[in-house]
Amino acid sequence: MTKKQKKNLRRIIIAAVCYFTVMLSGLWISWNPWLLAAAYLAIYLYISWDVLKKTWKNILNKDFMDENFLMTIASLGAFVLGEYSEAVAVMLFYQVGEWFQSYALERSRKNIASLMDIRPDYANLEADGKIEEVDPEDVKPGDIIVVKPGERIPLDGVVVSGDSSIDTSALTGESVPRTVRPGKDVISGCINVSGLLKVRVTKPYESSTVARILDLVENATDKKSQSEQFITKFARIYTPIVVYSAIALAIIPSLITGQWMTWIYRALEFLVISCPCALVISVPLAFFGGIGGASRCGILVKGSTYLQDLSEVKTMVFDKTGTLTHGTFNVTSVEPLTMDKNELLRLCAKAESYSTHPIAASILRAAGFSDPKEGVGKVQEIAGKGLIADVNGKSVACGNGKLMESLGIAKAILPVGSGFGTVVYVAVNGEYAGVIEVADEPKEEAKTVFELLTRYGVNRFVMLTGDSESVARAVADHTGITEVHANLLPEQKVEDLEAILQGHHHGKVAYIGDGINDAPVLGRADVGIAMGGLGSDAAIEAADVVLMDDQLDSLITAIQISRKTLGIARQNIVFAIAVKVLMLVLGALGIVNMWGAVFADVGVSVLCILNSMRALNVKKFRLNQPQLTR
Amino acid sequence: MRKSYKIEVDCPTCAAKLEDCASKTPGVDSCAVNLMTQKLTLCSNEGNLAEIVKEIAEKMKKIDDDVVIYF
Repeated sequence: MTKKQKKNLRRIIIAAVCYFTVMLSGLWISWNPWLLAAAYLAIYLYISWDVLKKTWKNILNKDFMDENFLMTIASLGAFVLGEYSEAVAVMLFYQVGEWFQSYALERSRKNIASLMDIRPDYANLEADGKIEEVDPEDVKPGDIIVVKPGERIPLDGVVVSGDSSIDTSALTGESVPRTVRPGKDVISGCINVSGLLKVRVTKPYESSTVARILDLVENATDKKSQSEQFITKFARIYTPIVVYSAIALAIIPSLITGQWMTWIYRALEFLVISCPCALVISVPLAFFGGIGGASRCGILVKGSTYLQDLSEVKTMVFDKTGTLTHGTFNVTSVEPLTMDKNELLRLCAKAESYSTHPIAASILRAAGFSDPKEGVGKVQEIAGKGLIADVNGKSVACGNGKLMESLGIAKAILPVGSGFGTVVYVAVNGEYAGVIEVADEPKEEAKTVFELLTRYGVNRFVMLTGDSESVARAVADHTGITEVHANLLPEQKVEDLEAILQGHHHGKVAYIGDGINDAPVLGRADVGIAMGGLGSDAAIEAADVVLMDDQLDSLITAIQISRKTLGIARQNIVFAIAVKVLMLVLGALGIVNMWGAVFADVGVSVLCILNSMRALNVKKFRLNQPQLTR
Repeated sequence: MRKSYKIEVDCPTCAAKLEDCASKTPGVDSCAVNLMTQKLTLCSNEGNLAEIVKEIAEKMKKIDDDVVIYF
């Protein structure tokens, strides 16, 4: 509770006690009517002075169409009509509602804020052999900090000593801890779980991951969604309409029936009911909750508007490398003719040991030698074909089909690969020995994820890639994507996306990429989604939505959260407007009294706030399959 | 220059008033009031933000003295 809330609560209790004392005492004592009016007036002024003062200020500023004004004329009107007790009750009930609303809002805000709070409080700076606790902002790149088990890593850096596992869940929503050892990068905001780590800081606090993410999340709600803008506009035209309707309700039936008192009273009720606060508070709160919940699942949404757009995505355009595929080359199959698989891999690795080509690097990595160059003699590179090397006295040829042909091996006996990647044929002493395939494999979960996405209304999947048609096709077939645009230069990707956007009239277009060389495309799409954003500044900068982990199923989580949030916002809008319209009609007919009217105002607001809090409650979606390890 | 200030605002109407008031203050290029994070963000290319925020606080006292800006 804030100071102001405490003060107001005390005031409400005192006023309520006085009010009921005066009201109940009327059962035994017959009050002098003037004295009774004075007693009620005193309580009234005590409970409503702030509302009256605000109304007065607003009138002076010529901008008075708000709830304070409505409550003031409603309660003063009741006084004028001689309904003293009612006038006090309305104001008292209104204050109770306002208090509860302010309390609920503050609680919700704190809940969400605490979830998003990954701010490190201090850093253990090591200097001259001593360890000192300092503000993370005072640590400079190059400094050494010590992170004890259980502490949050305050700044981005590289581990210089110690082994540990770190919990990245606050950033990625991923509960499996990562292991780190000297030489590995660590990211601020993660929690060191097991061992003592010494970290050399690489970035100042302002540009560290944690500071950037906090800045992003905190400013996310500044970009208002359509729903929120609708509410603001709605409130602006709604209040004057209601005030004029109330005036009409007070005058027109009175002129006809002559019952001025009844109709003025009903008009006052009408005013109280009509307050739009339920909408004005609960809709932004739902979005705030949705963004908070998403950030806990490792999904950063840069504005309420993107959260709304996500729910309307009909077309998803994917970058291939790093998004649909893992983005690294790996040996995916070793098919020897007669010899052992390992032997083939080792022979090939030795032959390739002097090469710096990424394919050679992946074969060497797979073979896992400590000294691959041992026993390697003369190496002869044949441009565009491969190489021939002397390995332990044997002549080993590694390369493509053309190399094999030049050695006199018939093309017919060479197997064809899976199509994702590159095949390396190996021949020993001029005899075909086997084939090794190196590929950037598509992500296993892609197909299932796309099938699930169609349930959320996504009906068009497109792949854009700079790679060749054949590789793109193979990946597309594997993942179930039908539309492929291959051989694109980076600027052509933008043109292609623009063509898609132009031919698109229903729903939104999302582009999903890794943010490394497709920043302009990310920016151009209705919703630009960057994958694997952890630690990648470019991705965080360019995208509207950042999936902190590398998993495609986070897309489903993102859409689920956006749909849930939108659903809650819509429920609140419909519920609040429905209750108000109903009560307005009932009030105008004289069926609802002033108490009901105040409930329709503050009661509905509180219910909507509670409903909005559900937006926070989201779970990360995970496919039921063993996670791929890379 | 862009700077955020902590504020104390507990109703959306007051937040809208603050935003309106801040955006009309000379020197402010853009501004945003965030009720959820309780923050006022001001952008100004030419003006001195320290003076601008003081001016906004003065004006808000006249409009709604429940709004508090910490600067």
